Amino acid sequence: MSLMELSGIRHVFKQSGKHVHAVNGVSLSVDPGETVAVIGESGSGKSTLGRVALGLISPTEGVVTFDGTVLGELSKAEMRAARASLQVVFQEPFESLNPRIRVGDTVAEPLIIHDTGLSREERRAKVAEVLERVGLTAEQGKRYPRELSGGQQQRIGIARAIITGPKLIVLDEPTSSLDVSVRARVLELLRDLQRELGISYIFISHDLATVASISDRVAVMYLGQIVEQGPTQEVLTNPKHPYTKALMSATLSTVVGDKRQHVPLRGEIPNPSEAPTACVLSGRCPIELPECSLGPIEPRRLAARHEVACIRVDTPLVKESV
Amino acid sequence: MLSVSGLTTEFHTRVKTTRAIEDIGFEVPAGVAVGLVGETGSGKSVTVRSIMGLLPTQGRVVGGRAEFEGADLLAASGKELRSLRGRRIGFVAQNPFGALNPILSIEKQFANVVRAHRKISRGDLRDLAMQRLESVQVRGAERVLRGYAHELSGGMAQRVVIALAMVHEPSLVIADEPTTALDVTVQRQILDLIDAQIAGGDRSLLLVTHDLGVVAQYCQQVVVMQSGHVVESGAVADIFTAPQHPYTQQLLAAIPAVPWASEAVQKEVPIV
Repeated sequence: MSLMELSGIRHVFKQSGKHVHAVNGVSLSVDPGETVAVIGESGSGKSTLGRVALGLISPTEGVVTFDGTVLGELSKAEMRAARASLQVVFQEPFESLNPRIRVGDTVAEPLIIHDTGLSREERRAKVAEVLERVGLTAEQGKRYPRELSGGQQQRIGIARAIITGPKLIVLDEPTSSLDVSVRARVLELLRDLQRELGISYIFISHDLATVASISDRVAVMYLGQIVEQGPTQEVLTNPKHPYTKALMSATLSTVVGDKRQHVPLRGEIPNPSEAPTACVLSGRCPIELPECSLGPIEPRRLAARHEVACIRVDTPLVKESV
Repeated sequence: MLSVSGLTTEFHTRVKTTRAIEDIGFEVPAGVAVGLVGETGSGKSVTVRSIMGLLPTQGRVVGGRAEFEGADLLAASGKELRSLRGRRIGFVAQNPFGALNPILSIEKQFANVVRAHRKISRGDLRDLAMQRLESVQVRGAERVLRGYAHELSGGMAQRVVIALAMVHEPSLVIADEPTTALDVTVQRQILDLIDAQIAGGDRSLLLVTHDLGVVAQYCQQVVVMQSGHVVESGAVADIFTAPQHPYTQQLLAAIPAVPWASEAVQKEVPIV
């Protein structure tokens, strides 16, 4: 049974009189110990989806089931209790830490909030243990956020997330603000923690290389919808949706001599308030047919867990004449 | 084309002096794209700002030369620098909305850039601006000219900035993280555009970036910086296949490989 089940999630923001469908009919599940990546560009709705999964936003429509309970049916107190097993790590480590509190105390805070009944001494021991687990010393726990590097700050964010023994962590672009060499080590830490503690991750990212290296399954989002999802290796070796292919062709290889590929999309991602009501890619797609703009495209199952929302899955993309 | 040697810049505050970059040296030959790479704090932006004479007031160049078209940019007077910047050296910044003036129409900004260096009639200016915008594939150039920066998407705004940078046909283009603020599919459009603007001529490019993929695919030479020093420089083909300095090796090793990705898409998406 899956640990988290998002079904038929729709979330509408009202923005200066307009309705913005930030998330528009998304279903996604996460198994225990699994990493599901949600990849998309800015405005794709991936962060909103993450907040819905955390219960920080109640969706306009749809149900979030976590560990056998429906999040929307929990009382405030029950939701608070559930948060011990449902944690989050944010993109900007510094912004998510209180600058006036020693980082060790920040890491200890969930233990107080969740009323674990630990004594001061026990909490201190637990913090030291978790800090060590994420590659920091108890000594570094006495510092303030600004005294730590970006990578160390993000390790604090991770320590705070794992101290309550969560089953699922939503990682919202956890490595995007880090330099490449630091990024690689933080990803390694996340993999190690998952192996040892069996935590599931929802890994939100815009970076294909990062997603490829960390996730078991991937969901590609565009304008509030999942256009393609499936096992990471399957989706990346056998991409079916034109948007997935475009995202991949836009990623530059660091191997000298690899040829640059044409990016087969026209223009830019529209403002979500002006999203097409039909196929989300209509207007930008190189293989669009008249029927693509008739109505929403439902995801179709191609293989075990590989779903694509496109009616032309087997059509190769041809280079548009410029 | 551009030859930098011994460039050292310090930042002075009341309490202390910090040396941000020290003894920086590299060349940007004619017709070549050079990538200047490094992580946050490596000094790549300070290097570019020193060359352009655009350091904040606390910053001071304390040594070195930056020779460009027979002049030392570091010793040039304000007036000399102003006559080179925009005319002989085009600059593309990271954030297009910071580079464009929010309260002037795009046409007025073209006028300011062009008239800073030569006289031009209103009609000629409009023709020139239209032609430049079309060359960077801005659709509806006429409407864009009448409009303001906030009406443009990030990608369109960066196209306008590139058009402005190219308006005097500069021989050197300096681009400081020109695509970092943009989405990936748009990033490639902008890089292809910059690439097209310098291709096949004597125009040179100094491209500041933290993205090694950008350097591998768009530059012929690379300068790697770490904590204010150049640690390695040379041909991209050599350095990416056999990096000599441990830091360069570490940087290249840190990038997760996506071996299957490019192969899969190459089957159907044509190569440019």
